[in-house]
Amino acid sequence: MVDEIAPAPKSAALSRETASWLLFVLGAAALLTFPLFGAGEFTITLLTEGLILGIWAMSLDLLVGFTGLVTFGHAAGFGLGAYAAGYFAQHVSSEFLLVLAVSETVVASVALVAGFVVSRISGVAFAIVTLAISQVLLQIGVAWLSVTGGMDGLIGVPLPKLFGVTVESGKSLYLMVAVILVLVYLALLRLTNSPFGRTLQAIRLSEQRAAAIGINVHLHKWLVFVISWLVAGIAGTLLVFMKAGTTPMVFNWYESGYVLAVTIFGGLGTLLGPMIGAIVVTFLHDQVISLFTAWQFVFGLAFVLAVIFFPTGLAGVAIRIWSRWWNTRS
Amino acid sequence: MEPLVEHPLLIRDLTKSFGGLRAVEGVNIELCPHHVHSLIGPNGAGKTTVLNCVSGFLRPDTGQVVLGGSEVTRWPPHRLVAAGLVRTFQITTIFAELTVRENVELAVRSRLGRNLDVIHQASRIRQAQDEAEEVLGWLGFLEKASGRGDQLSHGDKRIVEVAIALALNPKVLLLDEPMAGMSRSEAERIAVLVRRIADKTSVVLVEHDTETVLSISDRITVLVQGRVIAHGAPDEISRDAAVRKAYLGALDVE
Amino acid sequence: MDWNFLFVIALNGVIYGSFLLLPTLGLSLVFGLARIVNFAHGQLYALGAYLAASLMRTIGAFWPAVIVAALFMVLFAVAVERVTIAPIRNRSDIYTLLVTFGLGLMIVGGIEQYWGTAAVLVPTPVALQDTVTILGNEYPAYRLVAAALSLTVAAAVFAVVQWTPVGLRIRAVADDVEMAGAIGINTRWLMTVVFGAAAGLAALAGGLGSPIFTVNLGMGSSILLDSFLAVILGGLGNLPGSAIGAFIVALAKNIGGGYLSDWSIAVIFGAVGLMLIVRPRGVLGRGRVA
Repeated sequence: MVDEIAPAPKSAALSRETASWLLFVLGAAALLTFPLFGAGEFTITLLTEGLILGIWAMSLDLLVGFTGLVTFGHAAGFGLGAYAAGYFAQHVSSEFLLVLAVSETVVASVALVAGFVVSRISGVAFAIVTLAISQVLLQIGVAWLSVTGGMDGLIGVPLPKLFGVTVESGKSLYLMVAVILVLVYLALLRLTNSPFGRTLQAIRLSEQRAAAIGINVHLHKWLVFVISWLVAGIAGTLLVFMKAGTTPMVFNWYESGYVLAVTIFGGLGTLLGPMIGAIVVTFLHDQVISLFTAWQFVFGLAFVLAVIFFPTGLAGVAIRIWSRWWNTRS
Repeated sequence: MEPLVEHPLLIRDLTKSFGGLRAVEGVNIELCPHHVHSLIGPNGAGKTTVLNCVSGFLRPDTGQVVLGGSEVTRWPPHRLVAAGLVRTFQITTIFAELTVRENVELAVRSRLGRNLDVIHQASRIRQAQDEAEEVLGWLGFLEKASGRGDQLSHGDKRIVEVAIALALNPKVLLLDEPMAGMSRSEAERIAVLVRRIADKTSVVLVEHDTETVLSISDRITVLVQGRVIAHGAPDEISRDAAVRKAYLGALDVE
Repeated sequence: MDWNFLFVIALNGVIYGSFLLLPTLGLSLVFGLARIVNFAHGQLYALGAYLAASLMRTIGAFWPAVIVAALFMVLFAVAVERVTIAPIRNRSDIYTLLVTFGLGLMIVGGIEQYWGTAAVLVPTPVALQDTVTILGNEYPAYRLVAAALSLTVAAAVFAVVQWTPVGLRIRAVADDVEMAGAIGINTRWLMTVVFGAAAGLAALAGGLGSPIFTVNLGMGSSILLDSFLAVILGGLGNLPGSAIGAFIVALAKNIGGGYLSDWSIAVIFGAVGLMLIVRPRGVLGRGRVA
C-alpha cells in the first residue's frame, strides 16, 4: 500500500494522537484540580469567567470555524440562556439541572425559528441579520420591564443548587463550570469528528459542491445554528449564576464582536484554541485594564495584528510549534 | 429508434429565461441506458444552463425532468443526488483543503446517508474508506490519493471531480466540460474514461471538443442559441447541414 | 392626534436622515467598490465629531474646525487603509470585516483614553443659535442649516459618482473589478481614495451634527448600526437605495421612537431582517445579493 512507502507520518500520527490525548487528560486534570493549588479567590473567579467565555467561544467556533458562518450576533443565544435561567432561578427554583433544562428549552425554541430563517442566507447578509436578531433581543430586554427588569436587568439571582446543596461561589462554582466545560468540549469534539462535522466542513469549503454531493445544506446550517445557540445558552446560564444577574447589554453587538474576536484569536476550527484564547483574553483584560482604562484599544490592536499576521490564531501557532517539535523528534 | 425501454433521463420542453434573455427554449433530450449522450453547441448556446436546470441549481421556467420514470423537476440538488442524478462542474470545485481520498470518502459517506451521523468517528468508517479506495483504484489514481486538493494539477483536479461523482453511484452522470483546459493527451485519457464510465451508468456529456465528442458519443444533441437544431447519431450529425453551418466545417470526419 | 408632535418628530427624522445619509453613502460606496463591510465606519464618524469639538475649543471657530477635522480623517483613513487593509485584500472577505472591527475597537478605545467617558458638549455656532418658527413650532435654526448642508454634500457625492470621470471609474470597478483592472483603471488607488472619502463624509457628518446629537462613546456604534440598516434596506452597493434607506431608518427611529419608544428599534431591526430574506435586493430591487 502507498502508506507504507510514504515517510512514516501515519504511524507517527497515531502516537501523536495518543500524545494529544495525554495532553488533554493532563490539561483537564490541571483545570479541575486548580483550586487546590492555593490560588486566590480572585484568580479563581477570573478563571471561572474565562471558562464560561471559553464555552461560549467554542460554540461560536462551531458556527464560524467549522461551518464558515460568520455571525455578529452570537450574544443572542448566550444572553437568552442567561435571562431564561436567571428568571427561572429567581422565581421558581435554582436547582441547576432544572434551570438548565428550562433555559435550554427557551433557547432552542427561539433558535429553531431564527435558524430556519437565517439558514437560507450566507455571507455578509447572514452576519448582519444575525446581528439584527441580537439587537431585537436587546430591545426586548430593555422594553419588557415586567419580565426582564428593563435596563437594570435581573438582579439578585440566587446561587445554583445541585440536588439541594447550594453551590457556593468561588471554588465550588469554579469546579461546576470546569466540569461542564470538559463535558461540552468532549461532546463538541465528538461532533466535529463525526460525519456530521465533516459535512459542516464541506459546507464551509463550498456550499455548492456540498449540495452537489447530496448534502442538504439548508438543514445542516439550521442544525448547527441551533446547536451553537444551545451551547452558548449553557454558557449564559452559568454566567447569570456567577454574576447573580444580567442586563440587556449582554445582547449588545459589542459582546458578539468580542466573543468573535476571542474565537478567532484562539484559532478557528480547533475548539481548543478558542477555549484557551478565552482564558488568555480574560486574564489579559484584567491585567490591561488596570494600566489602560481604554482596554479596547489594546485588544483591538492585538486583534488587528492577529488577523493580519496570525490568522490561524493561537492554536495555529501552537499547532505549528507542536508539529515542528514532533517532526524533529521522529 | 430504440425499443421501448425506460430512459434513465428525459428532458422535455425545457425553457429558461434570464430577465429578457431566453437562454434555453423547448429543449428535449432522451438519454438511453449506458449511452454517452453529448450536448454540444457554440459558446453561450445554453448547455450549462440546461445542466443547471436538470441538476437542481436553477429552476426551469417550464418543462420536465424525468429521472428513471419519476418526475424530478425543481428538486433541490441534494435530493437529486440521492435519487442518482450526479453532476460535475465546469469550474473545478473540489474541496481544496482536503486530500483526494478525503474528498472521495466525503462523497461516499454522503451517499451512505451519514451526513447526520454525530456518533461515529468519520475517519473510521470502513465502508467509506473501502469504496473510496475502489473508485480511486478504478480510475488509476491511487498514488496521488494523499495529495491535497489545492495542490493538484488542473487535469488531476478534473479526475478527482469524476471520482467524487462516481463515488455517489450515479444512475445518470452529467459531465460539464470535463476536458476543458486539458492537454491533448489528458483529454484523450478522459475520453476513454467517459466510455468506461458509460458501462456503469448513463452519461450526458457537455463538451466543446467536437472531434472527441464525435468519436465517443452514442447520441449527440446540438444546441444553438438555446434551441435544439439537430440530434441523432454522430455520423448523422456530422452530415447535418444546419450543424455544419453552425460550426463552419469543424466537423469534417474522415 | 397631536399633529404638532408628529410634525416635530417627523422633522427630527428628516434632519437625522440628512446626517445619516453621509456615513451611509460612504459605507455603501466602500462596499460596492471593494466589498468591504467597514465595521470601523461608525467610529470614524465619532472621531470626526470628537476632533471637531477639540479643534473648536482650540481655535474658537466652528466651521473651520469641522472642515479641518473631516480633512484630517480623510488622511487618517487613507493611512489606515494602506497599512492594514490593503495587505489583506487577497484573503476572503471575512478578514477585512474582522480587521475593520478591530480598528473600530482601537479607535473607540483611543477616544476613551484621550477624551474620557463623559459626553462632550458642543455649543451651537453663535450665528445660528436662534430658533425659527415652522407651522407654529419653534425649531432650532442650526439643525435646518446643518441638515441642508449635509444634503448638499450628499447631492455633490451623487453628482461626482454619476457625472465625473472618477465617478465613472468607481461605477466600473463596482460593476466588475477584474474587467475594470483589465481596461487600465487603477483599482488599488481608487479603493484607497474612496475609503478616505467615505471617512471624510462620515467625519463631516459627525462634526456638523455634534451640536445636535450627543457626542459620547456610544455614538459610533449607534450610527454604524443605523447605516448598516440603511444600506441593507437600500440594497447592498446601491447608492440611491442607500439614500432612501437612510431616510427610512431615520424616520422610523424618530416616529417610532416617539410612539413606541423602546420597542420601535426592535421592530425596525425585525423588519430589516425580514426584508433581507424576502427581498434581498433591497427596496429598489437593484442591490447586490450579499
